[in-house]
Amino acid sequence: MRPELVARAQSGDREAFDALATALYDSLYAVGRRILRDGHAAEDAVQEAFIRAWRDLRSLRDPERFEAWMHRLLVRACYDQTRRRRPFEVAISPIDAARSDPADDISVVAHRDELERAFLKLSVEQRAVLVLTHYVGMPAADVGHALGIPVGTVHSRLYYAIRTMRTELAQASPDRMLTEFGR
Amino acid sequence: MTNRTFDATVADWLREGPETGPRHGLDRALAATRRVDQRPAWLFPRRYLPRPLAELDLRIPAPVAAAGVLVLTLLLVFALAIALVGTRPRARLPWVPAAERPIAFQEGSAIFLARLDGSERRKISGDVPYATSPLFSPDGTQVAFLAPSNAGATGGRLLVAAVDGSAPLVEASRGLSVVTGQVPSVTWSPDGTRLAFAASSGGVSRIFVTAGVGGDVVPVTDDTANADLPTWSPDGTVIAFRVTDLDGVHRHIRIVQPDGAALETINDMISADASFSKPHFAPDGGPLAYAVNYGFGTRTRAIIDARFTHTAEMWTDGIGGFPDAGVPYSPDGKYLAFITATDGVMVAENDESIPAEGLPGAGQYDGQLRRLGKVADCWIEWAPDGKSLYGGSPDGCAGVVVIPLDDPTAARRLPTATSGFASWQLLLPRSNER
Repeated sequence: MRPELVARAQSGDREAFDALATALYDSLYAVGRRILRDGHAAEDAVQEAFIRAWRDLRSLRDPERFEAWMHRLLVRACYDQTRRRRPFEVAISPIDAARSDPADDISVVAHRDELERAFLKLSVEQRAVLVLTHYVGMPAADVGHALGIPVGTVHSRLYYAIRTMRTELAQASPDRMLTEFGR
Repeated sequence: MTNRTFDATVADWLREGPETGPRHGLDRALAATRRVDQRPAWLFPRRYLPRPLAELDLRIPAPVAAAGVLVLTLLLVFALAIALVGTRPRARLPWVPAAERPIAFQEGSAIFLARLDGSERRKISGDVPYATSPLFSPDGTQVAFLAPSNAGATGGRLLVAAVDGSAPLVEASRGLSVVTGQVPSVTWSPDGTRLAFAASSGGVSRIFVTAGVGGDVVPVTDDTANADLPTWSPDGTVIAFRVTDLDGVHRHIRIVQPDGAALETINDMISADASFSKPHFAPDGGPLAYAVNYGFGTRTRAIIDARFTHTAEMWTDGIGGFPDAGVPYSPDGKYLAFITATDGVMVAENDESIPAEGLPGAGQYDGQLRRLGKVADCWIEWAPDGKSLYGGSPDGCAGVVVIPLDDPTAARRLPTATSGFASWQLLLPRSNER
């Protein structure tokens, strides 16, 4: 991300900020979409992150870290989105046509559905760690910085997230877990 | 299979799905930012912290942070209140700058008024052959003075002159012979409508009170003891004075109501060669201050006396000047002034924390003493604004000196020869001078 654009945006240049936001929009949406498992909620989270970024941009001391800062704002917006939802509004997103490959057989679709259900059993904090680690590909230190948590907490959240998902999947289809991943 | 395989499965699953967001979502988000103003940089305290500290995410809940800020703000306001209000004088000085007010003084055989620089000088004692001991009324409109037949007489008339010369002299003593000592035995009531004085009656000095200036005169002490040096309390309810029994040995400080009722003894002493000075009331009507001369000069003491219950000796190394002059309070009541035998003029902090008799620390004076040096002699008084003292000049009291408290070395002398006590006009300020 170009630091000079960030600097201009910090001085109140809206065009510079629009350029930064446009460049980051897709990646932030993709991350938000995966944490929240809901496209509309992801849009709202990204929008909230942009508003906070524009409002508080002058608090950012190092323009080089704009992208990491945006990830932090996005994750916090995801947290807020999750808290705003009422308990019965838990989003169970069916595998949509765009995601499903017509060639997938029923077992594959069923497997994706089980993963989705297991993922939604995780706390939003655990989901954020999983997404930043396994989707964005951030090292643990960067994840910790983006989320404002120590590296050790990143590792522990990852561990418990995976364990929870394995447990959920084992309960849903014990044979597949035994066959594919062992115990 | 291993956990790593499961992680890879989860990663693959996470990679499924859209990599781009809808365009309308971007447009909506950008439009939303335009409805928000950017906060100025100074609103972010972390910008001023070292980077490692700034990057700590303390995650303080907003209510806790708000409560903390509120408490800190209240503490700051409290500290400012103490700093600004607590350091101000407890009592507003009800006088305008003293230099603007005239001083009444005796020069030769007459009483004059003049400002500090000698300007606006005028005589107010009329054609009285000899006049001494002028004393301004509290409202500053009249001056009482004594008019003995000559400089050596022990008694004389008490006359009152209007400062603006609008009225003829009034004889307040109504034929009585008012005592004329080194220290005048005359006091105005706080409202300036009456006078109390010591006058000789049947060979005994008694305290008399007038009914109005020039009105009837009524004794408030009997003829069993000599009473003199009266002082009217600031609230007008009592008059303090000293008493020497006819045996010349028993001595007292007493108070009495202006109608002669409720006579009360404040202090007693039995000594043929000792004496009390004139008592002075604190401006709030609190403890009396006076000097006690145990004889031989050097053992004179300055005392704060709240009617026996709270007594402390500010000074025990001898009082100088006129032994009867006493220890006057400053207009705000925070300080007292007196002349010492060895250290010249002394200003003492009024110690209000003196424990009552019988309690630990009773009689212990804990106030501060400030030595101004030998800048005055005979008598000392406070200027109406409390910012300076005035008294007899140190060259034998042939003049009046004014001593600024912030720089006693800048003491200056009234540009005229004077003798005896002078009196600086006390005048309540006009409303626009407060």
